[in-house]
Amino acid sequence: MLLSIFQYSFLIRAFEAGVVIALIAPLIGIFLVLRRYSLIADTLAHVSLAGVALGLLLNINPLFTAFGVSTVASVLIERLRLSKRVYSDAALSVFLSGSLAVALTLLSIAHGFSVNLFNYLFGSIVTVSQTDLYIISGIGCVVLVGVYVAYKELLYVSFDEEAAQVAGIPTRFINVLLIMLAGLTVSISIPIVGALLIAALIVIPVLTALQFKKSFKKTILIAEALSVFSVVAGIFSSFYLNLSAGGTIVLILVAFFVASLLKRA
Amino acid sequence: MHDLTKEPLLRLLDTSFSYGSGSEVIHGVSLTVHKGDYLGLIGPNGGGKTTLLKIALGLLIPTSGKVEWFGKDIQKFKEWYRIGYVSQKATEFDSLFPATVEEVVRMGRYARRGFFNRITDIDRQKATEALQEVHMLEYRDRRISDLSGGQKQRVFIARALASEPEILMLDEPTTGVDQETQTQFYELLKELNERQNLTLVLVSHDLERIAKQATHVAIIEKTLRYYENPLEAIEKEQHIDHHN
Repeated sequence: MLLSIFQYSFLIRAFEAGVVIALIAPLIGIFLVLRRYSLIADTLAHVSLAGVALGLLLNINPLFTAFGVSTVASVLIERLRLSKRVYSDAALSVFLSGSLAVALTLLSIAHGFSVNLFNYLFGSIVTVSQTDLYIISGIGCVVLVGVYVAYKELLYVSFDEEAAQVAGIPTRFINVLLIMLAGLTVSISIPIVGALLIAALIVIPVLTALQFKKSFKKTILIAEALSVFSVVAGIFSSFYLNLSAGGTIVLILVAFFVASLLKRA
Repeated sequence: MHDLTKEPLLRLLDTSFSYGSGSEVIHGVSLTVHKGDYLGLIGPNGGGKTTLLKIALGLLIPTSGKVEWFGKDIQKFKEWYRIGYVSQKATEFDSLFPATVEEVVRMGRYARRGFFNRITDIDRQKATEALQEVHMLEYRDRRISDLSGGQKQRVFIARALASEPEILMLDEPTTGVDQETQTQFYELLKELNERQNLTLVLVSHDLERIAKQATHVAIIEKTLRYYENPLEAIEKEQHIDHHN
């Protein structure tokens, strides 16, 4: 029985893509959560949907349009936030619903609602093509390298933005870089967990790991372990129990989070 | 009088600042900090002392006037590792942030390393030495959030010291630190100034205490009054409510 799961090439692709996403999501997530940027993940996910719709309309691989649109949006979000003309949470809310509206309009221009949209909203492991896997792995590497290169700057800015600025770290650039990396992470996560559930993969493992009260490096490692385990277990159970992979992954993450809270109580 | 052969580290020339189109917070301030000075920058709440500190650190851009570091215009100045900054943040710190004392102090070395560069054994060594200097080495593996306010303050000073600065700029926390901690804090600063000849600029509201150990005092109340002799400041500035 266990062997049979690996006879399906779509499932192997799902596992491979899933592990890439599981590895990078908490890596971006820890900086977003500590900077109080958690909601940006959700906003960028909705923005990516607009990108997906654009891709479907123009007949381009939606992953490409998703990260194109989310990259542009991440720069705009940061600029709007810095301009202080609106509250930053309100700015996010504008982008969140605005881009959903764009997505809906583009899709209705294309050919009304289709099954496709459902896959992008909630994820579908059967839809991960070989090309998708290449894109996901490639972008995943870009995010990994990005975090590796800017690790100490990201850490310093998250810890004490003002002191980081005095130390000569280009804080504005680091902020934009973080949001752009988040945009990339979100767009490639769409096929597996779906746009509506990505934020959970980015935020929840980090929140759980924070409850352990360890050093920064150990906190990242705990979040990584939780994330990879949940994604792999989620895909397994979706195959054997015929459940939504995105839904199961997030439920496992939530279970760990609740357990970590109870443990401390 | 100032020894004119001493090197000026920081110079403010006729600087003024206002937020937006509001009235001026500071007006026409000129100030020079020389090597080895221990300058107390004292003022009442709203007098502009934190604003002045932020202008000096490049966090705020003055509406008029000039700032120079080590003889260079602040816009062209790049060697920020030569300046250590200790903000008020030590006492109002995010208790969930996952970082050990050592991880925090190592951040002080980042200014000396560019992009792509990981920290080296030398950086780790300097961080250890900085922790030793503030007598916090035994706490190196503890979580920063588990420490008391005074201990956090020491760790933040160690972080600033780790970059081997020539001058330390400190914004004294006004809340959440008890008397004893405060006394230890002042003793540590005196030690750093006298033993290591480290230049200090301390922003504070407590004129009487600072005047007893600083080498110079400047009172900032929108405009600046500079005293070569700190004790003279106590005499002439009795109206400053130092208990606010």
